[in-house]
Amino acid sequence: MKGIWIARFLNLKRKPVVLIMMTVMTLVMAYVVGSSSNGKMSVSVAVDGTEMSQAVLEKLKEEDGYSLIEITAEELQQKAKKDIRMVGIGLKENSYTIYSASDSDNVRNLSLRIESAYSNISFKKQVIQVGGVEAWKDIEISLQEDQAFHIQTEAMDESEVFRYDNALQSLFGFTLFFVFYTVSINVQFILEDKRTGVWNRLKLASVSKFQLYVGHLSFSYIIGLLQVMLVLFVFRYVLGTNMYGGFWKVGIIAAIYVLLVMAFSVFVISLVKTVSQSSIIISLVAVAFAMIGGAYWPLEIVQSEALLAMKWISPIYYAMESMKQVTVYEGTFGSIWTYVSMMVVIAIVLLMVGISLLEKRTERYHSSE
Amino acid sequence: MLQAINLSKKYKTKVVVKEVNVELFAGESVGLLGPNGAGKSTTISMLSSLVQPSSGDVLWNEKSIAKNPDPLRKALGVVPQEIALYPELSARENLAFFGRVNGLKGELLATRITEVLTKIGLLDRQKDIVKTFSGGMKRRLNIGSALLHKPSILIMDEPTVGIDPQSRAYILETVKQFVADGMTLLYTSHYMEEVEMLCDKIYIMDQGKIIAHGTKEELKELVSDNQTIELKTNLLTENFEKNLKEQFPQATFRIDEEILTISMSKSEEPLANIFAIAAASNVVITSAIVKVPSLEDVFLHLTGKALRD
Repeated sequence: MKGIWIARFLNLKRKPVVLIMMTVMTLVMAYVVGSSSNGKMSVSVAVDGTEMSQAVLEKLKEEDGYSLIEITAEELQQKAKKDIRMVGIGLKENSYTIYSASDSDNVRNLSLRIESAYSNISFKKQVIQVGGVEAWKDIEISLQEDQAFHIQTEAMDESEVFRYDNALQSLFGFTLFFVFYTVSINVQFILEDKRTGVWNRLKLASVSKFQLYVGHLSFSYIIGLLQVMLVLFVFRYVLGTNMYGGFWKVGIIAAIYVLLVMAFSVFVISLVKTVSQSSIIISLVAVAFAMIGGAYWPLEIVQSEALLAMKWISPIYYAMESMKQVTVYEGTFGSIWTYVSMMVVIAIVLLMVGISLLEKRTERYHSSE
Repeated sequence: MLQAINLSKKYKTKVVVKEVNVELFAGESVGLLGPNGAGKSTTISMLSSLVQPSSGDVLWNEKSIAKNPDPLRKALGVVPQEIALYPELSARENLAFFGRVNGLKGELLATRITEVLTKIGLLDRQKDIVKTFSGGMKRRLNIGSALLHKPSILIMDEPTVGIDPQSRAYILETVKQFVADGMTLLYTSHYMEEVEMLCDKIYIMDQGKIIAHGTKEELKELVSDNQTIELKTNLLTENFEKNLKEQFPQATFRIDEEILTISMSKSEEPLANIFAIAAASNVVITSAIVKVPSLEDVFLHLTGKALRD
């Protein structure tokens, strides 16, 4: 087994491109997609320095759905000329200007909110001018009490409340997606060794089947896990991504997920004859699993019942949900035991079926007839 | 002694090896000769304990290897038909890997690697990556990888497939030296001249069965009553061939690259008749060679087809 590890390590040392590429791709994609606007509308804002414009800006900051970028009035003018997609606001003492290439619902909605902010602030100012701060407090209380409806949002089950963290969605999604390739490419060495006759040479050297499989699979597993942990580490401790205190829980889930991917890869190579056939299947399946498993987008926004029903066949789904549970939802291991046990059970079944199919097929490699 | 007793192998419904019996004594060099698809590779896979026979048994020093193949495996070096090497590793790294899995380590491993590299003529290329090697060099390293643990039996499965004549000659000379050094050899090939050059005893296989075996002389004795005549003509017409077949109905005819080969009984005196038929058919014979029997003739005689058909 040690010999297999040395050979595989030397091989990796000579051809590290795939591993490096997959790791870099994960880092870049997760960073680029994860650090985008969090699903919020990006708005450039310039104030004229008056008390009113500053107060309106503060009011807008309290609104959900906008990512405000403060710039100067000159910068706003220039940006409006250069960037056709930009949405910007120029706030003044008694008026405002919206810069937008289109008159969309989003822009109209933004306009309403600005007007509402101006009107509320003016009203408050007038009340304070006439009756003082105490009068405003009384009005605030009476407004609260006289509300026609008091709305309180609550879910029967805490897990049904949709929480979304774009940075973590991208990080977990791309990490789980790219490691699929790393592990599969490494597992394919078994197929290659069988095809070239190296496998037989090792058997003739009295290396047991158990040692052969453990040697190859443990190496593939460790490489996959190292990639995942490296990416998670960089995001958590270098880029400072908030993991809601669930970093190590995510690491443990990743360890189980990599095992499942390894088992799945063994199953795939047991069905095909060549490495290129296996690569094609893995490429197609990895993308499909990522889509239906919620790696690219949260499944909560998916409307199709058929697509949602298929999520159960995707290994990415179990890992993605578990990782989100222990981070965004701040859940414990108890809340994800179903997903984790599903991953372990599927991994064991796929490994057993895969290895027995591989062994049946192996005899064919011994004979050129 | 390595013995195959009534070995058969069946894949689903297809029987690829049928009741094969082979004996290999210490110091012998034995050839397994047959066309592609004859069952040679399956037979040696069963002999080397890689494939379980569907029926029959393999004995190593009179003990079945079915339950305990390890004693045989320790004594065995197998050179597969495929290049069973890691292309990204250097020649020395490959040998170190295979030596290590065969239980060699430290100083002993380093010494054996150098010995093997010298033997296969790759000492000066030991640090080069295998994927940069020529086909012949890869084949040599493939052989070297089977020699590290000093096996007493070497099984070689078509070790010269797909290489240039110069590399082939080098490999054959190397193997000849192994035989001269007393190594027991089982050599499979569909190249008759290789088996004839290297082996004392030959088994001829076709369609999964051993159809003849014995020493080269014993096998040639099977066709000692035969003679082979190779004719080169200016124009090989159908009429000429038809007339020859009418004249010599017992003979077998084969055309290979404009050479007409006729195998017939020695009792006949054919040359005068052949020239007469040629003249009558307006064909000019440019050369006529009467040949002594070869293993190729033996195969032709036994199966009615050429070895490389």
